[in-house]
Amino acid sequence: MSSLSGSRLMGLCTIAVGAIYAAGYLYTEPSITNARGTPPAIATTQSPRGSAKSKTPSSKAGSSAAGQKPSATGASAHTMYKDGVYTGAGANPYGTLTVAVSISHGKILSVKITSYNMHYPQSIIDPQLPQEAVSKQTWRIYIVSGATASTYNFAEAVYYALQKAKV
Amino acid sequence: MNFLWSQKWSRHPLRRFLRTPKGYVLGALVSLTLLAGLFPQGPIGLLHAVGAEATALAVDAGVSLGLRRAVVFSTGGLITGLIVADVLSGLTPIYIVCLITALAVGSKHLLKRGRKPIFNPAAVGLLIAILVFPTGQSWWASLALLPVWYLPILVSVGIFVAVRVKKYPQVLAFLGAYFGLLLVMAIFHLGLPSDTPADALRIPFVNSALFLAFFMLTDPPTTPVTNRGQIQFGLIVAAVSVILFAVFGGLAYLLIGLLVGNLWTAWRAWATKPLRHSVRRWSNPRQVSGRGS
Repeated sequence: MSSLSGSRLMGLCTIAVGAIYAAGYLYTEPSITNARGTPPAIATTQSPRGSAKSKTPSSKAGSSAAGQKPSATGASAHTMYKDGVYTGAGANPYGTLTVAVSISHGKILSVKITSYNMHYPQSIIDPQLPQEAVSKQTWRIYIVSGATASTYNFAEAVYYALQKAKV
Repeated sequence: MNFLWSQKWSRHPLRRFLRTPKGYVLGALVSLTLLAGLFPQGPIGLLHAVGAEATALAVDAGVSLGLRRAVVFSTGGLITGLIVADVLSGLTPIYIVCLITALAVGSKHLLKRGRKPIFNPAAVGLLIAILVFPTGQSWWASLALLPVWYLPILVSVGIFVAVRVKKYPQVLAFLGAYFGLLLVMAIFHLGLPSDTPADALRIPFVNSALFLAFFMLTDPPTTPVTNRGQIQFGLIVAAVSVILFAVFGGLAYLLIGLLVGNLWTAWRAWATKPLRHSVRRWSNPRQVSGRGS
């Protein structure tokens, strides 16, 4: 027992903790991979704010358009928008992000994330979510597994920007 | 010239401070804060850190003046302020950061046992922030917003600090139990669909657990001294944290777990204090005779 004292014992314990972490990481890897393969869409009957609350029950953060309530009939590919650049923000306890949505000829021309302060690195959702919003012409985008809170914030931010752009 | 400089530096008070437990923690936190300042909102975070530090020093000085004690440079306050600024989102208004820092530093003067605080002051402030203020907690100084290859830096700095402040056993007990219980959750499909063990084991959430383990769990006044006590403390914090994560999810589970551990430490000390007190009293013949007469 005396040979296992001090730094050697601490070293062995460190390796053991690392092994437990690695086991957990590897065991949960298939669930992450499966979720990435078949991303669920954000429910079309729910607002982004409602969805975000369902994911993060302790949500207390506001947004730049706190007075408004997104509705299920918010935006679609057939809605006409006023040309210009509109901003929106999404926030929850995991952080905040803001977007700038450019509208040209009544359609979403580009979506740029102008500020980002979430738990997840921006590279997880950027550029795929802005590209998806442009290609589908809607705020209803697919959840990026492992970055659910960022996805909801992004959808919420685009939603509020499109609300401002509505004819 | 170099020899003279090295001789001066070897006797410098700053060098002596940097070799104390508080010095190690403060040095590590400052290093990580500056490194984490590389992320896009980093400069705002650094500004928040300066504001929080100034607030912490002002509150501690104010309390000392109010209690008619000598005003000293509060390094403990600096650590509390820096942890608060390091955890709160960069988009939090600076006055909220300062207010939460003031509450955190104030809590150590209000909630105390003898001269020691019961709870980790930063954890108290950050829990109040979650419950009361509409602000996010990004734990940005845990390098959560930087690419994954920064993670070994956090782990290396954290292990160095935990070993130096003689709290490594409780860090290992906490992390081992925390990761182990998350693995059990994954195997038995326990927990919420929105907050899974897979999330908790990955960046950015694992960064917050590591940051808490290395820099908040290791606070000497609010944690046990003995190896046995440290291991029990680490296990309690991990168990409470994972149960809260499985039942409620959210972000507060680590902070609440730590505060429950702090409360257990205070209860343990309180439970043993009368025994120590009586032993000391009865071992002193003067007191025994005095009490008897």
